[in-house]
Amino acid sequence: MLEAIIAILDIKIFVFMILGTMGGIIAGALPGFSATMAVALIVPFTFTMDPVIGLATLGAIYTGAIYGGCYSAILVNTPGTPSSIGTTFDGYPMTKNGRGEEALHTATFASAGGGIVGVLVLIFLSIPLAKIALKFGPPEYFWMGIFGLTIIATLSSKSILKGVAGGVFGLLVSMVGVAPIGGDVRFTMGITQFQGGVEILSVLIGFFCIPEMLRIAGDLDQNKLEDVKVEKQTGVIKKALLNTFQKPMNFIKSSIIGAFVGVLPGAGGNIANLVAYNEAQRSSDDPDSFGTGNPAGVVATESSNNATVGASMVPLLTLGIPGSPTAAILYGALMIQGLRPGPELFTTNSHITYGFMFALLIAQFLILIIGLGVGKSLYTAVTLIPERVLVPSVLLLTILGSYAIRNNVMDVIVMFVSGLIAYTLKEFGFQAGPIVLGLILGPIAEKGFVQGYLMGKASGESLMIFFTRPISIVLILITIISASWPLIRIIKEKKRKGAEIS
Amino acid sequence: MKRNTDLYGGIFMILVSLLFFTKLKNLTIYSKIFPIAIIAILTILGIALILKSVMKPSLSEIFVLGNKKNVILVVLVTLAWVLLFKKIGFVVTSFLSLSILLCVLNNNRDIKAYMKTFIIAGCQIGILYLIFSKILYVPFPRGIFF
Repeated sequence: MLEAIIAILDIKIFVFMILGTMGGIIAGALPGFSATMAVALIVPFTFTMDPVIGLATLGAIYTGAIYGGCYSAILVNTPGTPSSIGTTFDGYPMTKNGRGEEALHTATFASAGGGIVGVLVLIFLSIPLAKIALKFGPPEYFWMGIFGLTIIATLSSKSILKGVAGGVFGLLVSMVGVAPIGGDVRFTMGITQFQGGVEILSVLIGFFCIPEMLRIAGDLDQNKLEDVKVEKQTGVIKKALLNTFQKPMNFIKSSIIGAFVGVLPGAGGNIANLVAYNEAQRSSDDPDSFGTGNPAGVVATESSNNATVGASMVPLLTLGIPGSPTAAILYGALMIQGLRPGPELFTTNSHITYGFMFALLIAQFLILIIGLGVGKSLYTAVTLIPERVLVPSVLLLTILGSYAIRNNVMDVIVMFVSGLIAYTLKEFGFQAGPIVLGLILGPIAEKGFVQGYLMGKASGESLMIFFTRPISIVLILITIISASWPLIRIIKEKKRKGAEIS
Repeated sequence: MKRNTDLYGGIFMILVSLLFFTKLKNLTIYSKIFPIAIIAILTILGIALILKSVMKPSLSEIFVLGNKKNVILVVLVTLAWVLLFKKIGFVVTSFLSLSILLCVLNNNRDIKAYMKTFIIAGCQIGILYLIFSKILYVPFPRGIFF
């Protein structure tokens, strides 16, 4: 761990992290430009970097983007990212009441504080979890893959059937290339470049960037942001500090909610901010003031959404299961650095893993400094970016990025075709998240299944090996709970609606 | 007009399953055991979507855009960009594609706007080319031009 701290205390890392945080804030403040897109576009720039610098930069972008969403939420009532939806409820009324600057600074303190809680959860939870994960064999990895796939149901808020179908489609596409156990070359459709499999990062860039750019090109000026003149207030930093920490229960509770939701695969800042807001309003002495410009609402949403950033890395780093679309991109980033996400990160590459964790911690302080210093100016810069320039510029980055991964034109074609498929499927009601999860978890589940089957055959247990090992049994139980959770939620919702009608 | 997206989704999934199914022959058992299971599940899900499209269809308008012409042009220009940049060269193709896209998406069609477009395109490509080739050491295809 000491080695990691030394590795992170490098001026080069700080420079990249400052740029990353600023870039993230700009991306987060742009409606329609998600944190996932920002990270996906920058990954190819990082793979020739030292792994610690590359991952620290990506962590800073992710943190900055989740925080940056609050600017457009507070100033123009348009959440920059889904994680800031709840911030509009009280942030925008504060701006209308002439307290915009106070709202922005309150969001900054809450975001940084919540982010620190999230990273502490990551540090203290991941080490024991990784120790357990080191005991995993092929049957356990098979069940981990299946458990990861159950997240699809959580991600498919609109249609579980389409979510599952999308996930299985992703699984099938992941099988293109050399079979992990049999060794046959399969499903290449006659394209020799597919023998090594479909380049996952190209697909991720295409899936998350192309559909959004086509949508913006079709509706130019739909998300046009306007600069807002914020009235100057005296002693605003002190007020913001008091808003956040004078009654610390709201901040602590919201950060813990954010961290808890973040650890759960499938759930992220978009859910955490609304849960925390509801809880803050429910437990408040003055619930009626929520929605009219109560800073406690801003504290709840912003501390919770930033707490999810660090916490969402727990399943990725310890088990190799990306629990969110952004974690899926970071999965790809780790892979191109030659690092295998999972417990091995804590043994063979511990200095990189701990370095990444400390970088996430530093990123929280950076959003505090940058947010209080030049945050509003960054937002003004965002309002100057015309969408007619943004679309071609992002397309240029997608092409450059997907080419740079392996210097292969086929990866660029794969990126663009994946983007068109994702755009079409989105129109049919299929979300990118489940498909991407299937794509990543496919090889883990397949390798675990075939290796486990061979192990079972050798020991005379056959398929029973998947059901008799203690960790497998625990994973099966977790998988069953996870898979049935959306159904339980639907039944509960129906019961609640029934009770309301009667 | 509202479309039955379940039906389209179901047909897409069945077609994908069929395509992968036809590629199963000649594979050894360990290479095809898992894909067979996945193809079967995807076929079942495709059928379930088609059945749902009959019993409880999910109707929604698709490809609703303010300016469809823009989207089609963006797709075509990007496609040409992707397919030609190795043959013609990264810098030339990207400059042309970026300029065309900037012009297509811009309502102003005067000389000043065109000049601005070329400057923006040139600056972006110049900066990114320098970052990738001089800092990240990623060689770009030069093609017949540059």
